[in-house]
Amino acid sequence: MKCEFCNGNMSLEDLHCPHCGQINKHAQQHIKAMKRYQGEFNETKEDVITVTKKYSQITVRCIIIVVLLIASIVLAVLGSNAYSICRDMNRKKAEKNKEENIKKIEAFIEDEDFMALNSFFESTDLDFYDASEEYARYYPVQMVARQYTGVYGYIMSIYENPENIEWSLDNLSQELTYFYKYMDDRERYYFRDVDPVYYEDTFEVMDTHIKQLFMAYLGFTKEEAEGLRELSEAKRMVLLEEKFENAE
Amino acid sequence: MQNKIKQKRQDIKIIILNVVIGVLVFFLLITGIYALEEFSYEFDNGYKEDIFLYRIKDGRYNEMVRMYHENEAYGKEFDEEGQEYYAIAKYYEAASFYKAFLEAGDTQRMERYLDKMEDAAEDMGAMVFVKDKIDEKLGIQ
Repeated sequence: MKCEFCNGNMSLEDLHCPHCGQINKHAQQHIKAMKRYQGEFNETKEDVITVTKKYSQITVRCIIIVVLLIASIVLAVLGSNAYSICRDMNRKKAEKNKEENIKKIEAFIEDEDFMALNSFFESTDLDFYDASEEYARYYPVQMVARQYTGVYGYIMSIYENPENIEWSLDNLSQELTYFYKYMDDRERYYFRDVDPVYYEDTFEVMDTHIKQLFMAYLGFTKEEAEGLRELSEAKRMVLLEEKFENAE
Repeated sequence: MQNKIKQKRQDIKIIILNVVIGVLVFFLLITGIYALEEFSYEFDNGYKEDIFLYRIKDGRYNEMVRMYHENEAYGKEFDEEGQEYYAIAKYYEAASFYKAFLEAGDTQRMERYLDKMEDAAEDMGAMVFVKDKIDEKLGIQ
């Protein structure tokens, strides 16, 4: 550019003319403008950084919220399905230890330990439709063993606590009904395709136990105990009530 | 000026999001505790020692039989004192069947249950005095 006073050459960076020393007004305006632009630039830059940071903070928080929501839903679903999850785990464990478990079942049956057998089956959470064939063979026995446990409990409860007799007699009658029903109704699903060798003898033993308990603790005669299986639920109940009315 | 308004709006958004996060953390804690309790309940099968002790104190030995079998099935182990409670349950069960088969004249079963009674009595330890109470209750001489 040219100096307006001496027409000498000078640059925009020269605050004074290198030839005549006069003030370079253009350079001064340029410097002022640069300072202003620099200020605006810095301000804008800070704004961008601040806004970007805030957007980042918002984005991070949104991500945290989504993660927290998903985690809460997962925990809530897990908690409400705890029963099913645990049952599945027990069943898988039972299938994994099948050989060992079948030996245990056979040992319980051999020892006539039917209450232990019932508790063992309950601990595995196995279901007839889910279980493998090896377990399914013992389901008739399991169904009756469950009732056997109930009948034993009510017999001994009546014997020891005659003051609760009405409640106990009702329950005993019901348990006994199911005990014989589950034993005798061969149309039931758990008898399908199961060889009677896996349950017939065991049923007889369980029935023997129950009859002996009736005789020893509830004062039944041999004939009355033998006849229990053939009676209807109503007649059984009548017989039980008569027994205890007479005892009183 | 506009930038300052924008920044204020964003500050409010951040505050709202912080509140939401706070609420969700609380909710997560609740659901976490819920899930933990549900699984604890499902995995904690069987009966505790004090339940057995209450039954012994009340003389409700017949109830201990089922409780013992359940604990055995679920692998619930007790310490030495607890093992004595199990022995009482086993003794009661064996004795109840012993009497039944004694009266029926079923010698083979009677002897089997007598052996079980003797084994259980040995494990009763300090609680061996309960044996006589059970015998008296069941009418066994």
